[in-house]
Amino acid sequence: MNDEPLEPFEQRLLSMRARQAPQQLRSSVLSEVQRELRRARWDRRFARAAAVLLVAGIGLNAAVVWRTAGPGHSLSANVARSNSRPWLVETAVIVAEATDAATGIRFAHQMAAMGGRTLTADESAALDAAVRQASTNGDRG
Amino acid sequence: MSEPSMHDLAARLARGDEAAFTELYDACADRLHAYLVGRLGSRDVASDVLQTAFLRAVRSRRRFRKVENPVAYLFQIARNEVAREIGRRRSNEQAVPSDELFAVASDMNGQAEYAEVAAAALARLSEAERELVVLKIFGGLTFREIAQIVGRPQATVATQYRRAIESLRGWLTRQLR
Repeated sequence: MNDEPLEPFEQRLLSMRARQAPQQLRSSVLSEVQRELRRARWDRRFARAAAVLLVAGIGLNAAVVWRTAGPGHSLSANVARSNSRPWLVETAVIVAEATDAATGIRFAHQMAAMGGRTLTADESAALDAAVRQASTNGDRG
Repeated sequence: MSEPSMHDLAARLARGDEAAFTELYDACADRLHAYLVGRLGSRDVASDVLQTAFLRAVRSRRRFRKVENPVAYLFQIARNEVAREIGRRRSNEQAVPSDELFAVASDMNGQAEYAEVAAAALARLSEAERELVVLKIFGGLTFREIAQIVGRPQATVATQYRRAIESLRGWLTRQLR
């Protein structure tokens, strides 16, 4: 059923329709909108800064482990553990929550590369799914 | 607003473009406010709810990516806010004062009396019927948009609206005879 032209009775109601929204409401709403958007922009900047610090921290940590691993330490076991699929997924989800899905995924790929390997298609798909799922949940919350 | 420009507006809203929110406000604030007055019976409460609806739209702006019609989406958010407001009050049975609902000069050919009777007639409709009339007449929305907002098929919405208008007309005719 489409919208037919209004009948005279409806036209009459329409002609008496309530007045316009108060003039001062416009400036009040739009300044609130502006404030909210600016706050969100700052939140995003802080989240990015936090992600950068996290990356730097993990990098430094890896470097320290690398240097201090003596003959008695199993360096390859350390690297393998920190480069395992569940660990990468968890880290990617944390980074995605702080920033966005794309950054989380990129970060996990970077971490895998630092460990000297490339993620397989299956691993990438699992990573994508977990991060997107976490981002969607975050959006809903 | 044409469909391509609606899509463009939705994309800009999703990105958090301030100018896009201004455009959205200018495109629908008067109609949205009229709808809210029709549902809530007070211009002041309507203004508060409109402001809250806008802030909710800003906070969930990423959802505009999946939205075809940002105006209808904003009405949907406002409708949810109305439900919350009515829930807080627990009762929404009182008639909406005609001077809040209609813009009528008191000396205009008996329009003030007509407005009073029309406001009373609106109050007699069921909540669901009144909502359709207010969305259509005060909100100036199409049946397609209303269907999207209330989550019912377009044909059902159109039929229920016609029925509500008939009962409104019948009651008004009897009162003004």
